[in-house]
Amino acid sequence: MMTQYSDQEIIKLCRDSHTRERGFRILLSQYKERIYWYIRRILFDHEDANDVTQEVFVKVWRSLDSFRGDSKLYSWMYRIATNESLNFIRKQKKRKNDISIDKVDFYLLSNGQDNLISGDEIERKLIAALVQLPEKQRLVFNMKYFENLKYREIAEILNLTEGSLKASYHYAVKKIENILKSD
Amino acid sequence: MIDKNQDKDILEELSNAPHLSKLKGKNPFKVPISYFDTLEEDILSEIYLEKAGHSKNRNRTIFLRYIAAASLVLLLSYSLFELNKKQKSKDTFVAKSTQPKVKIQQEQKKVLLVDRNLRQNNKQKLVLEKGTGDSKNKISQYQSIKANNSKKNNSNETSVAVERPLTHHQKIANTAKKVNYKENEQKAMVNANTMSAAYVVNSPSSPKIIRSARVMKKKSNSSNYILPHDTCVDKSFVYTMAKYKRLDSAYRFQWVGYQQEEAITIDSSRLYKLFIFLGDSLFATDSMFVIIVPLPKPIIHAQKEQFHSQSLLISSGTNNKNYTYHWSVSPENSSEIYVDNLSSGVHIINLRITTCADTVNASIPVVVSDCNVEVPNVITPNGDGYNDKFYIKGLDLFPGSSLTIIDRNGKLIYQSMNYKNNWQATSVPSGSYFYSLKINNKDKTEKQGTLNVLK
Repeated sequence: MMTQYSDQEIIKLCRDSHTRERGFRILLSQYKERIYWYIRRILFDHEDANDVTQEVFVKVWRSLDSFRGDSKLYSWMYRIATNESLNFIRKQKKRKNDISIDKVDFYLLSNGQDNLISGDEIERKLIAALVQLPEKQRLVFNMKYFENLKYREIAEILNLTEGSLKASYHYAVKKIENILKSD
Repeated sequence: MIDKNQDKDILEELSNAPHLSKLKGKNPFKVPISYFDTLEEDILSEIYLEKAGHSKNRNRTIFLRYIAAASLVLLLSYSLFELNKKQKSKDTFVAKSTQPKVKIQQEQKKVLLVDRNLRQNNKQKLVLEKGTGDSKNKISQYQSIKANNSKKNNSNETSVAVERPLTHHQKIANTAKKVNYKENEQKAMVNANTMSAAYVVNSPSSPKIIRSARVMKKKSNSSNYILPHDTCVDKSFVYTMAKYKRLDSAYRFQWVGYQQEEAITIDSSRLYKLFIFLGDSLFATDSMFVIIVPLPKPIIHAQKEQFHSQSLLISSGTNNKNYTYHWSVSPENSSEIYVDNLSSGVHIINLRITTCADTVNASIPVVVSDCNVEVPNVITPNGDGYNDKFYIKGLDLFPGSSLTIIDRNGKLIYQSMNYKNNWQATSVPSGSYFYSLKINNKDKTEKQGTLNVLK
């Protein structure tokens, strides 16, 4: 098993042009799954998430120079991932009125056969519920429910106050629960 | 990562949401098998290309050239999806594109699958294929893309070699499949001079040139692969592209992670990735996985003094997870073994170590004696820490051994039925004594001798 590197160690490696590539490889191997899943839960679709994840890491690579150590590495990457994901959604929306509805249809139609979502009824309902959440609530819910981040950390990533995050999470949970409850 | 406060936060909120809390944060999404390996390779490739100075614009012109070269280009883009959406109820629809219109007739469910593949609105999927292909063919191709191209194509259809960058393991697993593809490829090459079919994903924001390049390489080179197969060697070596270079000096080679162009020193076990540029454009990529396993140099260790009642530890003196050990005295394949119940006498222990590259033999003689205790003939019980006790080396291996000591006159001085190496001649003067030792080994060996006590 590869040893885990701390963010500081990774940053140190990335700062030095000789070890930058190595540092980036370590960063990639330690964060690729987390970042992918974060994006996937925002965008739902695997191919979209794949594209955006690649773009995020390319951006991270390009911006290593400008990354100042005053924020944590992961919250910096989450910020980039958030921006890229929201940009992606915005671009999509420009082209279509609202992609989300199609996606719900698709997920419900595909009946789990495409193997990239769970075939479990309740989990598919959860996805359908997630799709219906407003952007901000979705982001907060994902980071809290799936990734167990602290409000303080989420606040740093989204640049929002903890109070408003708590409210968002509360509404999101309520909404999702209502959808899960219904038949 | 999970701390207690955190859990409390979530539990509190979820206490009013029984359905949600039942799911326990379980991820409802899945990814394709080995996806994260592919992802890492894709990202590193993109970054590498960027470092190598390949701007997106250039990539686009490359693609345009291929479009011109191919006899027929099918351009299906976002408009297809849009149309598909509007015409879900109909069986037939027309794809709008800059290229000749293509009628696609499929049953509803299949169209949905196709649409899923083509849906990416900022991308264009180009299918370059032979001139005789009809629309039905194309649909099949997309479906085979969807099915990750694992299904066999019908004999009357053009083959599509869709190859995403594969991980090392996948490559090996896919060897068998590739044999099938080869047949189809050759057939296709007869029909189309330049390229038969290629799967190119071109997104303006992130060109995925790799995927197409691999296909190009396969199509344009009859030998298919530039680098040798994945290999296992015993020492580092220099790999040079000189042979290839001679064919055409226009080729430029770039190894991922190296400054050098043509010759690199392969000195660690990993994937070596090569980009080959022809002029300005990426001509091909290839990679080989090299495992370096140094030849073993076994130095067998075993305890020098052996008694057959003991188990004997034999160590090869080497350790490498890529070695396989074959011992003449044990079925174990580990670098160290324990052997029990060797009979008395001289044994030659043979060891054969196999690596991916070679085999090395070694052997060691092991003398197994019945009894090998050493009885001193003098003790000096003066408290200086040296020879203060009648210490019989090796006796502790045979508990239950008895010892009798008498003086010159035959008077019993000391007796123990289970001697513990602790007699210090405390109550006797200096002089010569006789001992009789009955070792509690298999053969109940007896030893007698003189013991001088010097105080």
